[in-house]
Amino acid sequence: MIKELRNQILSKKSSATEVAKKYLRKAKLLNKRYNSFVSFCDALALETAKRIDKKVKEKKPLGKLAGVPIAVKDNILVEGYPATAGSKILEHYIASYDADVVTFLKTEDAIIIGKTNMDEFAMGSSSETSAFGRVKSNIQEKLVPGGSSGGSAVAVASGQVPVALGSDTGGSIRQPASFTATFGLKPTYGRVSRSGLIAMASSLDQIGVFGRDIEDVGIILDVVAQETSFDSTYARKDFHFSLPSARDIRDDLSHAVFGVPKEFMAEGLDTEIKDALVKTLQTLKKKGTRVEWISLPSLRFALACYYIIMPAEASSNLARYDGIRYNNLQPTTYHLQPDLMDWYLNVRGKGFGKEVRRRIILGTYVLSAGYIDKYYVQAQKVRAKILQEFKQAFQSVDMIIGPTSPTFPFQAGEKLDDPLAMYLSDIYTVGANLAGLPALSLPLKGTKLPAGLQLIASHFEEERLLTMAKGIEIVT
Amino acid sequence: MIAKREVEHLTALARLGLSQRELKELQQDLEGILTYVEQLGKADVKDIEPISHITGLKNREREDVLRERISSPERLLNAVPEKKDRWVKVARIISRV
Repeated sequence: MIKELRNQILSKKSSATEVAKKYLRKAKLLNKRYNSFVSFCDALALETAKRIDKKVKEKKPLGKLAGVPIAVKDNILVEGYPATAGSKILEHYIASYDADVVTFLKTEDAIIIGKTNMDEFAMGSSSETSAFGRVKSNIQEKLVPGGSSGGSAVAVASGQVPVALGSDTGGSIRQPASFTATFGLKPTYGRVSRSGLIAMASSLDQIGVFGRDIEDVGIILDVVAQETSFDSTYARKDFHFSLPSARDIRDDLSHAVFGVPKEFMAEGLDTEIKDALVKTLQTLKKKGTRVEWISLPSLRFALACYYIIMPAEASSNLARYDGIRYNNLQPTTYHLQPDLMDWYLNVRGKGFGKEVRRRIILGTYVLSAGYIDKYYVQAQKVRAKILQEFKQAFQSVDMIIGPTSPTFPFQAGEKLDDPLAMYLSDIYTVGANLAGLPALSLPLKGTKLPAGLQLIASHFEEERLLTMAKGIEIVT
Repeated sequence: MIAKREVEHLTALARLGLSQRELKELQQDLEGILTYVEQLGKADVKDIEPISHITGLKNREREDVLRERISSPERLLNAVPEKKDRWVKVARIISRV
């Protein structure tokens, strides 16, 4: 889709302004149904379009994404526009700078349509906890689109935009991709700059991509995975994307070795999803791919490990929201509070939703004296072991394959009051975040409701991830 | 397993002002979650060093040279509720001794 959209501009079949106006109109209309966007970037989109049209007229070179509309999750800063992270406490915050990824998108002439809705502070697996209303699935209205990047997932799945950026800390891109039959990629930790991403858990967060097309996902990753000096955890830029020919892909696939973790196919996985997955694996075997069982025994602790480390880091990262820094309360009520402590208690108690409060307190608890060794340090050790086991697995297999989520999209309200049931949605996705591995969800064939097939590759092997995903798409 | 008094202490540490009802719900939720994460104690990680970082990168530095700003002081000051000149006004800090 990206190539076609860009060609339309290059060949002058449409003007960028026509494209921007069309997509803005369509996105706003569909938004009434899905609530996938929190805000729109009309002025920016039209300004970008105008700049592109001028370049076309003057025969100047166009950016890689000229004429391509894109949506950005509302925890990624676009200067001059609201960045709410789905929270009341940031309701009035206007981004004071561009995230690195946004700078890169702008440099390549991408048309940013708007900011997408999400679970508050990216804490959730259903996009129901947003202070601005839940996101509705485009599959069926009463279903959840997954979370926390549900808005971006639906924006792409419904055609509001061809591609979108999301963020993934424990599965927040892959799980909604699996619930909306789209492609969702979480890059290797350190592949994409986190400068300008509202931090949740700094050792787990990564910005990633949604698309309806593997090639589009690769093109966007190429653009956003650039060098930066604003993120000291940014590791390296040696990602050069170009999709090989179908023949080369089939060839690669027939020589590949896939590993299926026993721990991913155990109880808790919906049988219809399991059967469809097994069928896909059988098809791959027929095409020459070697498919083997592997075991990563520490994966059974992955979810517990994640739900200690993530809240701990989040409790620290969310300490900055004090009602003073980010234009929170209007008008001020200093005179109503006896002192600053009361001010904080009031602003934060009221500004954060239930799930965010749960996780902040959980994080505070596991880091407190007396408990830190039992929980946090223990979790860090388990994390080290999980990383070790993944590295070991990649010595004998090229790619790890399994389901993205244990269930089909569930109904809104179904898991909202049962935090643990909600957390279990991420049971297969958190491992890749803990180990910092690149992972992708692609639509699994052969089920009534959407489900995802998850691929996990070794560190910095996004090219292989994309190629194999394309291969699976071609042969199934 | 987690006493209400403990939850109250944590909410004070985290600067979250909650009603009695909210505190009670939080306590119940935490009980459930803690029961689940407790199983981490079963993991055999005796000789494993805890990690906090996976990239292995250390102390990435750059030259201490002024570069272009990514934002402006004015923009940041515009985001505070009350100010006086370029001073940020906050509520009284010390009132209880």
